[in-house]
Amino acid sequence: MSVWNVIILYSVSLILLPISFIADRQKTRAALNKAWKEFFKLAVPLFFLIVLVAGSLYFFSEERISDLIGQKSGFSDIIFAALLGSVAAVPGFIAFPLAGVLRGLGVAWSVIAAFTNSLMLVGVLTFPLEKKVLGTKAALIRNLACFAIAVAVAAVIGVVL
Amino acid sequence: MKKTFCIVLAILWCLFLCFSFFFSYQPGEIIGKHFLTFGGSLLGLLPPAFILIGLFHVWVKQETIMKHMGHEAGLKGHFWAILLSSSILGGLPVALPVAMALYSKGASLAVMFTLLGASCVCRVPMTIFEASFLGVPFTLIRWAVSLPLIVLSSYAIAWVMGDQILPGKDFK
Repeated sequence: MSVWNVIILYSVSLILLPISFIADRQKTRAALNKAWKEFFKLAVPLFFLIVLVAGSLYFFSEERISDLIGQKSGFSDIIFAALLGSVAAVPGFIAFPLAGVLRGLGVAWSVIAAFTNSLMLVGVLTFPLEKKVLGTKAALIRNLACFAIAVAVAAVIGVVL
Repeated sequence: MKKTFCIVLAILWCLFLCFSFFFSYQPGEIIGKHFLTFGGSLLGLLPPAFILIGLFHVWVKQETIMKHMGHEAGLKGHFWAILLSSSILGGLPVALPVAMALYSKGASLAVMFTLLGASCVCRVPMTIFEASFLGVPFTLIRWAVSLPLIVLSSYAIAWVMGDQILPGKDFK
């Protein structure tokens, strides 16, 4: 996550907050109250999300992933890479360079795409958080649909590139 | 009951990390380091995000959201959702509260699911990274295939859910 984006996010909220305060104190107080309550509601699932991500970063480290999906290209390997991407939590700034290296080693585009797509789309680790907000049913269907999309995109990329 | 269970788990976790550092148990140390860096970056991102969500709650009128992202808005609502999702930082932990805020203000279920799906697919900073390492064609194909599928699947999920109300919806 680039520092600049975070700075922009802070600037926007720190500019809007005083403007809102000048416009209407009562409403601004309600807004902050709301912000705190929303955060508090998600505090527990967020904590466990951080725990899960920390564990996943250890068990599915950069080296482990390149060992697991290196030198593969069949359809079952696409599914395997997509499953791996679903449980991994590697941040983009590590995952994409890694994907570039794997490509250099001759790993098929479709396998690389299956991994990076599911990494972004499917959240096994964020499931407790999603469940809290969306309910089990919606969270489950959503993640299954996202998994299917990740595999479909990987298949198209494999055919086109 | 569930609360005490969570607290016990959290305490056990902290003990595990403390012991790992104390006795230099290597896997524990690595996990602890990831825990602190990832937790730190997420917690750094959340205050401004939640402040913006709070301001959104008090200043944006329900009619506005209903008109542009509600049931009558059609595909236009999905367009706004995709545009908004591309600017969301921090992935799902931030996109979820944003989606819930919109949903509580009258955005349709389908639009909300599009926002969640699209926030995974077209965040701008991440996409720039992807294109520079895997090539622009890779990113273009990914967008061209995944965005329509996300919109379609959102309609499907909304259809399956029917009139069910999500637990995160908040009534005022």
